[in-house]
Amino acid sequence: MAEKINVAELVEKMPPTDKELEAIEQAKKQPEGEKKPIPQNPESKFTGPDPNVAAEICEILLKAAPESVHELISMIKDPGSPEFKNYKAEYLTHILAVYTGRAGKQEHRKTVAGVFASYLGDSKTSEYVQGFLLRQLERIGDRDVVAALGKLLTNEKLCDYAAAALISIKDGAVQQFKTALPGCKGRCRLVAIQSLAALGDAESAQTFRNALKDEDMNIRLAGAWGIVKIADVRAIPDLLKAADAESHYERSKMASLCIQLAEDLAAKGKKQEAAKIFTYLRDSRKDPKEKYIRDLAAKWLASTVL
Amino acid sequence: MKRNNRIARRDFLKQTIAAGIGSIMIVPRNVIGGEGYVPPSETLGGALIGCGGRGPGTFGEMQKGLNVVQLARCDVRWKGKADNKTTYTDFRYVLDRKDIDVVAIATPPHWHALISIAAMEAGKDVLCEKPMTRFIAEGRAVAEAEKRYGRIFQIGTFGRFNEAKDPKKVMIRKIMKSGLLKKCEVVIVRRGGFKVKEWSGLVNAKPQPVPPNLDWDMYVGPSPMKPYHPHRVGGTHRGYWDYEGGGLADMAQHYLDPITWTYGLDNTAPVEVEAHAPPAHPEVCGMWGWVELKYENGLTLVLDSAEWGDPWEKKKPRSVSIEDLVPEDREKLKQLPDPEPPLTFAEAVKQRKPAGGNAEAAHRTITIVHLANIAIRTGRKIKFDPVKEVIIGDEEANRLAYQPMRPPWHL
Repeated sequence: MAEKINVAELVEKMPPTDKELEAIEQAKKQPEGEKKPIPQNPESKFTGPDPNVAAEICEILLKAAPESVHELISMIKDPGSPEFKNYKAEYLTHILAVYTGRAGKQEHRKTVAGVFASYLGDSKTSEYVQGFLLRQLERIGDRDVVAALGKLLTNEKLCDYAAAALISIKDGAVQQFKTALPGCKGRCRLVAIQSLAALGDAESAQTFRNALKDEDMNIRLAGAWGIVKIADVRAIPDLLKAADAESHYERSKMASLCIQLAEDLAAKGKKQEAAKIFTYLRDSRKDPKEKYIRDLAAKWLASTVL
Repeated sequence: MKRNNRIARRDFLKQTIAAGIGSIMIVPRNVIGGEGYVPPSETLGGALIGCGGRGPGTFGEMQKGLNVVQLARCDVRWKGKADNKTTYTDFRYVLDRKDIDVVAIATPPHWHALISIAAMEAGKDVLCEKPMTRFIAEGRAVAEAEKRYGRIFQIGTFGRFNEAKDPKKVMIRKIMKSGLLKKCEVVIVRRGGFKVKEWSGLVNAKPQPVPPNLDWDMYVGPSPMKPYHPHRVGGTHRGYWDYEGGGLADMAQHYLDPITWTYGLDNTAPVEVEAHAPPAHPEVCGMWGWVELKYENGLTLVLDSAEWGDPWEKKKPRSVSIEDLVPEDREKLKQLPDPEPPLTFAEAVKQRKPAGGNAEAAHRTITIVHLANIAIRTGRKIKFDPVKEVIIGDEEANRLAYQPMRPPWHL
C-alpha cells in the first residue's frame, strides 16, 4: 500500500515567484502595524528550486503513487476557477513527469503516465487540465496511453494536443487516428489526416489520394505530404495535377512535395518514376519566376542515367 | 576614374531626358547581366514578414548592398486593417506574389523555419532574424530547402564577418580546419549577457481576451494553441517554450556565430551536453546556471549565465595557436590557403553562392542552443549524434528535438 504523505506541503516547497519574493523582502522592511498583505499568486516570473531538493520531493511523491499523483492533479484548476493558483502544482507535476524520464525510472514513468491518462475524456476534468496532462504525455507517454489519447481525437478543442502526443509516442498511434477519422469533422479531420501523413501510414494511401481533391487547401497539402511520406507511386498523376494549383503558394508547396517524392524514389532506385515527376516539372514551369524549378528538374534529368 | 573622363549620372539623365529616353523602365531580373548575375542597378522586390521589434532593422540589413524596394509588409497584428495589396496578415499571400524576390523574416522564432522554407520553395531569397529555429528538426529542414532550391539564406547575425577580417581568428580557423591539430584542448567560456531573468515568462497568467486587431490563430501557428495573454506577444514571447527558448535562444546565436566560424564548427555539433539548472517549468523559460558542451574533437564550449547557481570553473579558458602544432605541421599550415571570406547576403544574392551565415551554418550554431535547452529541460546529461542529428538513448529528449507542429503546419 502506498505511503500517506502531505502533497500540499510538498507543493508549497516550490519556491515563490520573483514578485512574491520581492513582496516578502519589502514586508520585512516595513514597521510592525504598517505591513501590507503579501499578494497571492501574482503574475510573475518563477524561480527554480535546487535540483537535488526537487529530486527528493519526486522520490517522496513516487513512493506514495498513484494516490499522490491524483492529489497533485486535483490542485490544478481551470483558469476560470476562483481557486486558480496553478503555478506550484503544475510545476511540480511537470517536474515529476520529467523526473520519471530518467534511466531506471521506467515503472514509475508508466504509473505517472497512467494516472495522467485516466483523466482524459473525463467530463469532470476541465479541458484546461486535460490539455495540460496531454502536453505532459507528449513528453513521457508510451503505447499504454494511446487508447486514452485516441478518445480525444474527435474533440475540436483537444484533438491538436492529443495528436501531438500520439505523433511523439508513435508506437500504436496510427490505429488511433484510423479509428477516429470517420468520426472526425472540421479541424479534427485535418488533424487526423495530417497526423497519418506525419506517421507515414502506407495503409492510408487512399485517404491521402482522396484528400488531394478536397476543397480545403490544407487538406490537399496534408494529403500530398502523406503521399510523399509513403512514396506512393500510384498517386503520381494525381499529385502532378494538384501541383498545377493556381495560387503560387500552393503551387510551390505542391511542387516542393513532388520534388521530395522524386528525390526519395530516385534514392530507392525508382528512377523512371522520379523522371516522370522531374519531366513534368521541367515542362510545366514556364513562368520566368519558376525558372529555378525548371532548372532543378532539368539538371536532375541531364545528370541521371535512366 | 577621373571626374572629367566619366559621364556624371546627373549629366547622363539630362541628356537622356532631352533625348526622350529618360522614362523609367523596369527591366526583368535576369535580362541585364545574363543568367545568374544581378547587377547592382537592378531593383529587387522585397517583403518584410513580422514588422514589430526587429522588423525594420532586419529589412534594412537585407537592403545593404542591394537595391530592394519594399513591396509588401505582413504582420498578424493587422487583422481587419491589412489591404492584401501592400499589407497582409497571412504570409502565404505575400509569397503568392511573383514580384517579391527577397524576404526579410522578423516574426517570433516559432515561425522562422516554416516561412523561410515556404519562401525558398516559392523562389525567394531569405534574410531571417535570429534565433534561426525553435527546435533541431526545423533547422535541418531549412538547410535542405536552401540546398534543394539553390536559394540564398542568411541568418540575422553577423559576428562571423568580423572574425573573418581578424588575422588571429583566421589563423585559428586555419588550424582547426587543417586536421593538423593532434589534440584539441580548446575551452571556450561565454559568461553572462544571456538575459535569463529578463526573458522568463509569467506564471499564474490568467487568459485574457484576444485584441480585435490580432490574428491569434496565425500568431500561434505551428505551436501549441494556448489562451492569449499579452506577455506571450511583443518581445516578451521570448520567455515561453512555445515561441522561443528564453534569453539563451535570444542571445546565444549572436555569441556563438563568430565562435562556430572561428573554430570550424559549421558542419558539426556537440556530442555531450550537461546543464546545471533547476528543473524547468513546462511553459515558461526560466533560470539556468551553466551548460557544458563537448565536441568530438575535444573542444569544450561553456555557456555560463552568471545569473543562477555556481559558476563553471572546471577548467581555464584556452584557445589554440600555431604553437600547438609540431614544427613540421607549422610549415604545412603556412602552405595552406587562407579561408574564403564569408559572403554577405548581397554578395551571395549577386553571385548565387551560399551566404556566410547560410542555413547549414546557422542551423549548426543554433543546434548548440537547442541542445543546451534540452539538457536544461530534461535535467539530464545528453549525448548527441552530429551526423544523424538525434539524441542517443533518450526518447524523451529526442521528442524535444523533433516536436510535432499544430496542423496545418508541418516541416
